[in-house]
Amino acid sequence: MWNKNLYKEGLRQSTLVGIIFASILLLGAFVFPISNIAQARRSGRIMIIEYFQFNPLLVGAFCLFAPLCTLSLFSFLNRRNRSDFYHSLPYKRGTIFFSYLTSVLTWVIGTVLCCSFITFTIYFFGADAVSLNFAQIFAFLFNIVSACIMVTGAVLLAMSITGTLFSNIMTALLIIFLPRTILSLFFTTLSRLTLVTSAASYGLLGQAHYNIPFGFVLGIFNGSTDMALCDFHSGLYTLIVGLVYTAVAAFAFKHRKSETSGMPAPNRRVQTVIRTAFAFLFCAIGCSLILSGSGTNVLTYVFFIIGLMVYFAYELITTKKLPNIVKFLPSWLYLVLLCAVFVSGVLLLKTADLSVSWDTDRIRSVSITADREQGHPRYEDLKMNEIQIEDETFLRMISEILEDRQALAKKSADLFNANNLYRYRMVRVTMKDGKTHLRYLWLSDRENEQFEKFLLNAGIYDAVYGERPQYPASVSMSDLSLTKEQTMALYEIYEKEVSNLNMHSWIYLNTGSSLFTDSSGKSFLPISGNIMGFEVNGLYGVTQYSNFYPLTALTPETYSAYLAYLNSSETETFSRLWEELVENPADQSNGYIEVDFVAMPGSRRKFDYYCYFNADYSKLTNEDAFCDIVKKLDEAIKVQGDHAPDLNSQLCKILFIERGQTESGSLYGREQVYVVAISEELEQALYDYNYMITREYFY
Amino acid sequence: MIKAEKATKLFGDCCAVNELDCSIPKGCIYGLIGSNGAGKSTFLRLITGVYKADMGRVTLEGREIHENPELKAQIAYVPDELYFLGNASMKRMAQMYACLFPGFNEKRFRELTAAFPLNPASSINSFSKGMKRQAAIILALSCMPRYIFFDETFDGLDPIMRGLVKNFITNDVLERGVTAIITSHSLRELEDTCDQLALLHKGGIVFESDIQNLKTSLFKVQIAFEAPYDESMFQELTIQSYSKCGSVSSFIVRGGREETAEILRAKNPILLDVLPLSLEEVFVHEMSALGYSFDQAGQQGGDENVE
Repeated sequence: MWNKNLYKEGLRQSTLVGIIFASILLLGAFVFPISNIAQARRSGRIMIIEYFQFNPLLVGAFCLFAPLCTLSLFSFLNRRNRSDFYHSLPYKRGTIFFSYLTSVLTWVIGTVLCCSFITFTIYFFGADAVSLNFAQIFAFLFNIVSACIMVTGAVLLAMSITGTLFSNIMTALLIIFLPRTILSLFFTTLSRLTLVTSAASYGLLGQAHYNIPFGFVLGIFNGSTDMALCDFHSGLYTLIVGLVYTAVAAFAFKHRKSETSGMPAPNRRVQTVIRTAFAFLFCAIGCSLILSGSGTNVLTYVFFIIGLMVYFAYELITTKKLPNIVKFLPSWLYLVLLCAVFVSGVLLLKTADLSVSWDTDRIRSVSITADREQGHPRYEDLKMNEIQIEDETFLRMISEILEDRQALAKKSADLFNANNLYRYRMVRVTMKDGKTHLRYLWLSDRENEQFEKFLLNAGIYDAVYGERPQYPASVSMSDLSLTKEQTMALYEIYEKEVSNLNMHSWIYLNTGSSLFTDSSGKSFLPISGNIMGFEVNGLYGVTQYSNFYPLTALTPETYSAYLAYLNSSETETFSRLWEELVENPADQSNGYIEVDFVAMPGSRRKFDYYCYFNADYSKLTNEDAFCDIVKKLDEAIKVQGDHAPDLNSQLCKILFIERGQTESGSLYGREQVYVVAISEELEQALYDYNYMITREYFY
Repeated sequence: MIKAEKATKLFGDCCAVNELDCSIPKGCIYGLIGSNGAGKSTFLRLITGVYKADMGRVTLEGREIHENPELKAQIAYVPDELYFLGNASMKRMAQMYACLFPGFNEKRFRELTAAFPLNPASSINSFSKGMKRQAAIILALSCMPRYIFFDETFDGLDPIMRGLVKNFITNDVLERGVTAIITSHSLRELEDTCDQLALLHKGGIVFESDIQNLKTSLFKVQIAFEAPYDESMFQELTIQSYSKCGSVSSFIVRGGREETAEILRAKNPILLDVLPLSLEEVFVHEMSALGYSFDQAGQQGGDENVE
């Protein structure tokens, strides 16, 4: 099955491609961590290194390196003389296949691992400036390796069944992207038609990001590649698909006839399948548009026309024989047949999905799960997912809602909006016959309240929120001016503080549900639009979770510690800059400070928006007024001295940007914050000046 | 022994080798001749295990060759279209052969490289057509094969190199008991080298014969008589391609040369020449007998490209 000599020869023959790509990836392995560390040190803030930032060029391993290395080493399959030579070698075909395959994978995966090791080492030496999100990075590396195996398998399969470079590439693209594209189109169309099901309801088939290359390309367009590149399940699925492709490729390679080289396909049947598959890709989009109700749109017809053009163009390009168009005209009917299967499949599944009987007697249990299409779930969502609710009252409520929404969906999708059904939960319903259904549970406000009340009264919220992630892979703060040690120290204080917190308050912080509004009158949420808190990531089993725990007035000890860290971090710089401002607040020439007054959590007033010093928008219309405010603030700063700000007072954040020049001559602007407790009088003054003032670019 | 039993190879609708039967004894140099598209190269690919017969079987020492590494390790195959790694030198190719062929002998490679005036460090891409063929032959013979399959071996080689290659093949056959199958359109080369010759036509062996026997069983006669005569005068002979110009007749006779001359002399001809046929004339004659002549080749045109 495998031969050392062939393997070595394979490695030798891939040297050129290997060295070119290894050099590029190695360059990334050095440049990105060094640049990230330098950037973090320059800004004086901890940089959180997540999957893509680790070394973005690693994506090139499966996008270019693996396919090009495979195409190059197995290119003997495309030339008759080369193919004859390899088939006359004293090795079984399977041995040639697996020995050369391992050569490709050694180059590709070996390079990825070596580069990652180097990158890790560099980050290790820059640990004071960066914080690695290990859970994400390891999942990212695993997914990159899985994607490399999948792409290699797909290219090999394509090369084993076709015999020209063009047909190799086109067929490989087809193998990698077509099944998932069609599945995505199918289930997205279905989900759009039913409204009560999501594409994720169909498991592996409905989750577009499971296929990493497809999910990555899709992510480039919709701006989110993390589900494809960081989800361990995606990596596992892609790896399995890759192994299946490789096994099929090995079979095809073993049975390939040497004379296939130089021909676009070994026979007419395979050629018809490839041609039809390409055309179907476009026709399926047309079918989806028709089903989604855009049937009259010109675009629909455009896709069908493109499909037909592709159908004939592929034949012409690969065979270069015009009469073939006429010859293969009848097989165009396969395309029609596939479209009919697509449309009828969607309609049949829609009917089946909307014909489920939600009789309470048929339901065994319900669990509440996270909508994976919205990104990584929270830790609590994953815990919640494990709880099977069998309470009869709850099951009856769910049954009625599902039955009603199903009836609405059958009539018209517009009825959901008409009935104010904007909120949804995702539930997994396990029936007594063993079947499970994943459904969107669209809820009215009243139903949502009932739903939450049940979870509260049944102790489910307590069970879920009573415990926080035990050993998170990474903890970071959205305010990055703190060091890693300060962040961890704060999180420790935070953990202790929230463990003593009233459960309702804690749930409110996490859910924002009106059921748990605090009675103390304190504001729960910090500055709107600039919420500070802890980002906690890790693995729950093999599933990645991503939590955000906000820092609010409910955790005064943590908050106070946080403010102390803030004020102490750049005391000297702030003092110097502030003094300069106080001396001459109206001076336009000093271009290195900005003053920004923002209400902090705990403020009696809830200032929600920034207000720039601008004659058009603010009551603060002249320099004198600004000077007056600066003077009053200066008094407050002096009163506060070295003490931490009093949380019972109105807090004001002074944001200043220290501008300077590095030794190399490049300009930098480092944002720093100073928090000061202000008097009621100053607060009133700020209020009078239209709540807040921001003097931006105070030069 | 190499044996083909009803071996058939199809390329779509085209039958390149059609129920071919033959057996090639060990230690023999076997020449394969035939028209273009007769199936010579396809047959070679069948016996090297590149192709698998669609029907029938091809065996080497009684075992199927296809997917049989043990047997393939004993074969050196030089196809008509040669293959070298892109921009590789002879040294690099030797490194590759040493890696892939268990029998590759470095010493032999050095000897052969010295015998052929090739620079092992130069890129093969810079070689002429003939030099490339020399390179392929050197590499193949360095594998110390027990079976040598050469397709259009002498194509592009100058007469000196042809002689050298023939020498090496003959030496291998004599010293190591190698079996060689050589296809060529240059019948002159085969005439010198081969022990046995087979003529392929439309995927099948039309005849197979010992070279000596082939050359002595067919001969050309030129004869003239004083009295008028016609073809019926030679009824006791196996005559082919009879033609008469004036009183002189020319024809090819199959049979014993001395016996034929004796019979003809008894008829008192005024002119009698019994001449041996060159292999080329034998080939043209046999092919004409099968209906493959200049005129028909022109008509058949492009459907002869299955090789």
